[in-house]
Amino acid sequence: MEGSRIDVLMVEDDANDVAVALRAFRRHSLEDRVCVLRDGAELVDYLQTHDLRVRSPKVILLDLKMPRLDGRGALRELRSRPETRNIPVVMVSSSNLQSDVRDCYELGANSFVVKQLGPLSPGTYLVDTVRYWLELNEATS
Amino acid sequence: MSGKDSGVGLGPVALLVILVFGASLSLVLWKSISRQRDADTEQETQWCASAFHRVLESEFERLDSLLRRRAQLWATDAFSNDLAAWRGSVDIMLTENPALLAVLRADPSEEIAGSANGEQILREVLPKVRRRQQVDPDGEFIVGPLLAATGRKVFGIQVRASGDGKDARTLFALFDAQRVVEDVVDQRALGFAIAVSANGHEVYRRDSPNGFVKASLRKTEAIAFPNGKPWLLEVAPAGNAAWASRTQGPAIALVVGVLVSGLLAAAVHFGMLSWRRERMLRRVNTELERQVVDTHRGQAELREFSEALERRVADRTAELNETIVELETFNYSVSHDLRGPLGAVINFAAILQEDSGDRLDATGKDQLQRIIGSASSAVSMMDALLTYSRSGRTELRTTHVDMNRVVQEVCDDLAVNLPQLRCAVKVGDLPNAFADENMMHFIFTNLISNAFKFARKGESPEVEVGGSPGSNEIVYFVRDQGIGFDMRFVEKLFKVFERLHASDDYEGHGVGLAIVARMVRRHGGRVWAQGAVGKGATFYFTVATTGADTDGRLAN
Repeated sequence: MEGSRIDVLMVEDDANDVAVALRAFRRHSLEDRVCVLRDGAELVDYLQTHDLRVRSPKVILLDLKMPRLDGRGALRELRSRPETRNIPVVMVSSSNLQSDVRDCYELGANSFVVKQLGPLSPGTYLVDTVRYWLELNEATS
Repeated sequence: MSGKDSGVGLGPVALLVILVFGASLSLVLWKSISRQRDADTEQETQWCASAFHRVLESEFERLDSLLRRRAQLWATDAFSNDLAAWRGSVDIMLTENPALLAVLRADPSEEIAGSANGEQILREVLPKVRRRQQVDPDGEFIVGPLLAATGRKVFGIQVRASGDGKDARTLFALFDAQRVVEDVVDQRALGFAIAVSANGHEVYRRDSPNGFVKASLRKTEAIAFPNGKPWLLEVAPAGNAAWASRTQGPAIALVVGVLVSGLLAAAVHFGMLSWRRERMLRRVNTELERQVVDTHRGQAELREFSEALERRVADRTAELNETIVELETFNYSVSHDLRGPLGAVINFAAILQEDSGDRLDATGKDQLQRIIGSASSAVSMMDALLTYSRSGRTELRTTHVDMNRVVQEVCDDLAVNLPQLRCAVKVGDLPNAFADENMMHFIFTNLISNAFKFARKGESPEVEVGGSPGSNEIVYFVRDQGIGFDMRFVEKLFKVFERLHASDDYEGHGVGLAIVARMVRRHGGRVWAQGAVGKGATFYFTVATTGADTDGRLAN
């Protein structure tokens, strides 16, 4: 069944970032477990159209700045619904502005990761992040 | 509020007015008293005159009726014929009535009886009596005074016995009018002067030794004498003891008037004094109240002014903050938005290098490396710029900071990448400060890492960190023995993107010291540097012991 292996929802509107991330996931054989969504609205749609009791995502990588429904709005939406309240959300942003970080934690984010730019192995930090949530973190069902 | 107003109750004019008033009052009072006295005196005089009038009239009537009864008695045979008996009866009558002097039987016997003196007088005046009797032989009359020359007030009275026409019908008697009046009047009503006259001849006069009080108050009464012309009685009040108070009237009036006017003057004086004092107090009160009102108004104006000023300051601050927010937002969004594309450049260049680097020749690899380097440099410059911008805006969280611990932590952090730092940094005993620990951390990180960055090539760096408390600030310094700088360009050290050394030789963006300067200023401190080319540099900064965040927020 399609989407049955999806454990990671990546919500990102920047095609370059998506490409870099998917390359990194591919190199670490995580490509199949990742579903990319373009913005917060798509995320909400996804969560409404999929039966979360069958398979709930183990982590959502949520960009902060997006068109339509942005990271903050999507997070607020998630945390306001009982079936999505406990899904781990990692905010991924190019901003390390203290106000952004504080806001996200207050809205119920589980982690905040600043987008890393480096000449070596682009996107690897996302692989590291996802691995933690997939392999180390114990989620509630 | 002059002293004249408050000191003097009455002026001379007012005093004169009161004096005249007092005198007039005295006069009026005296007039009134005197009029009352006159009225009283007049009344009393009238009473006196009436009393004497009644008494004298009744005395005359008594005399008349006495004689009339004797005439009746003596007309009887017993006395008509027995002369001795008649004489005896006359003697009794004369003894009983001393005022009677002698009696003449008007019958043909023409008998005369009386005291020796009386008989003699009667004989003397007999011719006059005869003449009168001839005029009216059987009539009743009074005649006198009969002895005008001697001054004795001797009157004659003839009465007729009632009854049938017998011979001895009439009786003529001599009496001393003065004696009659004296008996009645003497020792009575001593306060009055009294005069009695008959037919224009004075019969009796009693004057007061003190004289008359007022002749105008004289009262006259006509005293009817049976069968004769009425006698005139005059009574006038005299100034004896009974009327002594009369003479004191004016004095009493004067004293009362003076007293009253004095009291009046005193009352007016003190009244005016009290009124003036009250008026003065009221004026002072009003003045004070006005001053209070003025003061309140002044305070209100001052308050309004300062409120307006505060409002303006608040407005300007709000405007400035708005501008800063706008600038920050712009800065942030530019940095953020540029970061994406630059990140893509870096990422894809890196991917290219990883995936297809084998296919590039040395020149291609070098160029790819330059692309990555430049883009990374741009990103880190933007990051530095963001840090600089935020250093002026983040909230200052001041606590008591153990500076020795801060420097130790900084050294530990830096030692991760610079192992030789451990033995190169000498840290003195640093005073603690009341400051934002994160900023202190940043400042020392920047200064110490700079000291290493600008060490002389090929030499192991020596860095000294120290501090000492001043009067109202604490001075810290970081000293190195590195390449130093030219003091001519010292001003450029703390400005954004200003560099004294080529970035090829020494990495950096020229933002670090600008951030340091801004943070120091936010703590109310100063920052400066001393150095010389090739002889090392010392960076100083101070932290104010009182107050912080004074002007640093808006600096640059």
